[in-house]
Amino acid sequence: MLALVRYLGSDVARSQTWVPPFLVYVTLCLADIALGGGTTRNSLPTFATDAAFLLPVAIWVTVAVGNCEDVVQASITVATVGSETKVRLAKLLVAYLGCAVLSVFSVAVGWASTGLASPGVTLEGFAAHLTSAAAGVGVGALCMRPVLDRRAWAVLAGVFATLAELIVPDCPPVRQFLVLMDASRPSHLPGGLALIGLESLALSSALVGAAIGVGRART
Amino acid sequence: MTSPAARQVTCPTVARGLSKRYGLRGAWVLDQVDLDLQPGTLTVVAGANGCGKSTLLRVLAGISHANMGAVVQRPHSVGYVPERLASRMPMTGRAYLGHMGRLHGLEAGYASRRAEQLAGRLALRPGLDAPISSLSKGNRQKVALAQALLAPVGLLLLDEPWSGLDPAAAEGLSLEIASARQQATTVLVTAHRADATAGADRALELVGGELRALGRGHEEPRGTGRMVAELAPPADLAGAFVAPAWMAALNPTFAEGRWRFVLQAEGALDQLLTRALSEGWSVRLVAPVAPDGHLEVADGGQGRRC
Repeated sequence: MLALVRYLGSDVARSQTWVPPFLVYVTLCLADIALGGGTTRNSLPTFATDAAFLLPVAIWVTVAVGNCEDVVQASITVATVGSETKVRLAKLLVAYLGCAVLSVFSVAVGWASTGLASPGVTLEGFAAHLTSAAAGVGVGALCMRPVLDRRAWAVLAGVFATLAELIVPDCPPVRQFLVLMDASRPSHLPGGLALIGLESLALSSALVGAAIGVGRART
Repeated sequence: MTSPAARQVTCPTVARGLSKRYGLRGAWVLDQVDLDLQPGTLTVVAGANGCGKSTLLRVLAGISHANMGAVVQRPHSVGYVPERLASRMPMTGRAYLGHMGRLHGLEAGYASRRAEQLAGRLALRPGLDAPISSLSKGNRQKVALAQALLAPVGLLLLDEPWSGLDPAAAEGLSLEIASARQQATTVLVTAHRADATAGADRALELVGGELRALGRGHEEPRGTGRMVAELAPPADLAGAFVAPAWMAALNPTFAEGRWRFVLQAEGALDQLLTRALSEGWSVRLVAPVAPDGHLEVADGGQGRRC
C-alpha cells in the first residue's frame, strides 16, 4: 500500500492538478481572516468556517487525485496491483493526506491570526478540519471515475453535495460545526465534536462503499 | 544480475462462460467465452478492430468485470500492456518504471537495472530519463512493454504488442516473451492478422463475441511444445564461455563447444536461428522434445535424454 500511495502521490504532485484547489483554499482561509474572522480574537468561529470551506475543497482534491491517472495508465496500475479496490482506496488516502496538509495550514494561520488559541482549542479546530476532510473525500469518491466519468457531472455533484451540507438541518459535519463551534457554547465542544466525527466517519464510509460498488458495476 | 524469487502461479488461468457487454442493451462483446491458459504457453487471439480482443484482455487482467462468467486462478500480479500508453504522463520513464517495480515488490536496485536492460533491449529512444509525454508513440509503447516485463509475473497480457514497434524492439520483445515463457509465465497476445500467430502454442480468433480455433494444427499445444537447438559459435567466438547478450535471455547451457537451448515454441526458435545464422553461427541440432523427455531426432530412434 505504501508503494502505491507513493506512486499515486508522485503522479499527482507532478501533474499539478492539486494546485487549483490548494490555491482556492488558501485564498478562502486568508479572506476569512482578512474579512473579520480573525478580528474576534476567538479562534473557534474561524476554525469552524475554515473547516466548512474545506469540505468542497476536499471534494475537489479527491476528484483531482482520483482522475489524475489517465484511464489507460490506471488500468495498468490495477492490473499490476491486482485489486481495483486497493487502488481506489489508495487514491482516497492520497486525497485525504492532501487535505490534512491544508488542515495544518488553515489551523496554523487561524491560530496565529486570532491571538494564539490554546492548545485544546487548536486541537479541536484541527479535528474539525480532519472531520470535514473525511466527509469531503467520501463525497468525492462518488464524483470521481469510474462513478462519474465527465468533469461537468463531477462539478455538479460536488456543488450539490456542498449545498446539501449547508442547507440540510443537522447534516454532518459542516452545518453541525457552524452551530456547535459558535463561541457562545464552547462547553459542549469536545463531546459534540466526537459525535460529529463519528457521524461523519460513518457517512464517509458509506459513501466510499457505495462508490466502490457503483464503480465495480461500471467497469 | 540477480532476479527476485519467481512468484508465478503454476496452475492454469481459466476463464469460464465470460460474457460482457457495455450498457444494458449493448451487443455482447464477449459471448460465453471459455479459455484455458496453461503456464509457459503463448496464446494468440486474432480478430478485426472492435471485435472484443481488448475487452477480453481487460477482463482477464481484472480491470473490467464480466457480466457473466468468471476468471479463476488469476495470478495476483498481472503484466498488462494496453494498446497505447497515456500521452500526458508527467513522469520520466525511469521514475515510472521505478514505481512499477516497487508495486511489483522489486528491490529498487534490481528494478533500476532491469529497467535499463529492458530499455536497451527494446531500443528505447532517447532513453529512460526523458519525460514519457515527450516520447513518440512507439517509444511510449516500449515503456508500456517495459513495465509489464519488469518483474516475473504469472500472466502476461499484451494488446497488439508488435504494432508500432521497430524491428529491433520487436526482436527484443520476442526474446523477452521467450524468456518469460521459460519461467512458466502464461502469455496471451492479441493481433489483427492471422499471420501474427507464428510461434504460438495456440491461435484463436474472436468473432461475434465467440472464441474459436484459428486454422488447423493450432488448436492444442503440440507435443510438449518444447524444442531443442544446439548452436556452434563462429571461429572468433569459439573460446568464449559467455553467451552473447542477444541469446543470454534464453538461458542456454554450454557443453562440448556448443550452446544448447530449450525453447517453448517454434516462433522463438525461428527467431533464434535467424539471428544465429546472420551472426555466423552454425546450427548443429534442432529437434522437438517428446513427452517422455527424449529428443525426437530422425536417427533410428536413438534419441538423447533432454
